[in-house]
Amino acid sequence: MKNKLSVILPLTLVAMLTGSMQVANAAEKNYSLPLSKPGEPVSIEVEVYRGSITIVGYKGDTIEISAKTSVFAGKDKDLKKVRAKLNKNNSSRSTEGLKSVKKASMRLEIEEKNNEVEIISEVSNQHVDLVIKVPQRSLVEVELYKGGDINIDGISGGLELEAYEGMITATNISGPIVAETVRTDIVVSFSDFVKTSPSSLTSHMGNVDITLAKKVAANVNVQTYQGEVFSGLDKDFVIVDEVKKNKKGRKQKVVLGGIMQAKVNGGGQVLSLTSYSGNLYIRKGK
Amino acid sequence: MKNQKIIDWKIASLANNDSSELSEEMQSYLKGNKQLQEELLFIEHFWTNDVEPLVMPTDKLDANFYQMLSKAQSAQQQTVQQKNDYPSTSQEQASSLIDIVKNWFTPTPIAQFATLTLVFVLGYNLNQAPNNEKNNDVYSSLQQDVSSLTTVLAMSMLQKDSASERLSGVAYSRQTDLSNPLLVEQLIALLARDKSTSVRLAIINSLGQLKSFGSSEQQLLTLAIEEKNLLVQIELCRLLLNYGSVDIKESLTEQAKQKQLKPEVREFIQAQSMASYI
Repeated sequence: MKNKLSVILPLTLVAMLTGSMQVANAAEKNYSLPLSKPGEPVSIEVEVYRGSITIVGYKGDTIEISAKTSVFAGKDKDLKKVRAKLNKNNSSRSTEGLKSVKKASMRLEIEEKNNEVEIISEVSNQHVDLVIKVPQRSLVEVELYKGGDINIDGISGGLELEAYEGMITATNISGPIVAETVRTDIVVSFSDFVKTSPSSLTSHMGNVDITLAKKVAANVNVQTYQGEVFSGLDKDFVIVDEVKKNKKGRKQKVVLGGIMQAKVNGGGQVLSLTSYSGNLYIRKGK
Repeated sequence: MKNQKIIDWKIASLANNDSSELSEEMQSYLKGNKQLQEELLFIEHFWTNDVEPLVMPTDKLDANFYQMLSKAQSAQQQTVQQKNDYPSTSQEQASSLIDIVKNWFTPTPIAQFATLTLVFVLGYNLNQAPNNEKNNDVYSSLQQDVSSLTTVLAMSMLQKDSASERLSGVAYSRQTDLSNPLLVEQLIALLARDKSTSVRLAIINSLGQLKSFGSSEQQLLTLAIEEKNLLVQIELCRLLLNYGSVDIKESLTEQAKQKQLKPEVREFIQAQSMASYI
């Protein structure tokens, strides 16, 4: 019986949402996904080529997905290249006597197996705005290539966030978090800070702005090359490495872009903030 | 020493980097050492099983651990008292043991579990061997074991899919003083291909601990020259300029002079070179 259940319970659900609403090229769909193992750890992986992603933690035990898609009509160099390649292979046919049927279908793949949920939209000419409610304890991994931002709120599990064009905003979280953007900002507000693993926020050319709740204990490492560091912490930042000796044995410090550290509330797990040309902001919260 | 060699062989074979068999001498040594066999089994189990980071030790296990820890500490103190001729060395050893145990205790439940096993072995051994010399041998052997297990833990974490876990792996590797060449090899391989800039920067930071880059130095130079990620490239240059050999520093400075690197990197190398003249 137990074996039978273990075959049934690890349900593999593949939901292909295909909305056929032909209203102004947009489609909207809500979907409620029950977990196969309620109460147990949950991991959510979201990968979207173009759009925005909002993930909110709540006390429930199902995954609530709201997806709004529209056909992408803007300019995209990458898309142009792909289209040019495709058009090269397809000779155009006569359209005499035919009328154009606008595509408004939604393509979004949702898969769940043993509480591991994958939500994927890889269609390059589709813009999808996702709002997902997940159990607070979820481990969340998000990758967004183009379009809008990643917004996270109220997740107590680990976070791995990557946005190539948009911003990353995470509020009311406790980490560990690993986040990376290229040109845009990362804004994170910690309500607590777990000791299990290090956290790291990296923006190549954007700013990194964090707020630490009063109770947070951490070793905050900062490193920026062309930007500045602004801190509202009581503790000063001091250089922790990059002290080397010259030939005569005298010590000299190399301060260019070196890592500086502040031990907040006596120190704890490492939280690294890095940017090449952006500023780093460290604020004290309530 | 034989113990350490056998443990290193085990780690190498688990990491698929060494398919060689143990020498007959080592095999017979292993046959006669039940404790080492158990240790290898533990390492194998630890390596092959997908470690769940949220597994917490049970209350009973916790209680046993503290009992063992207390026994181990009192046995260690006894050794220190009896060796009045060398008090400072023994005290340093005792405090470093406690530091190691403390460091092991904070980061993750996995480390707690590994520490638990080690301290169990420590307590067991000290109870079995009242002789001071034997105690010291056991103690140094256990220190090596701590390092070996931290290495296993680090290497295992570095292979995880999650960037956060790989970051933890890099943090563990820092605790091992990077004495295991396999671990250094794995770190450099990860540095060359990891998707996460955070992980790559953490690895570069860790590699600064190495006394010498040895045969990896040329590989690091190639990475530094060919790297596309500006942050990673600058940090690699910093690593080589600060800790590399004279030849490598000259090669890198020459690359900068010949304008074969990004302008930002060239600027960084020039600034670093000027700073080193101060």
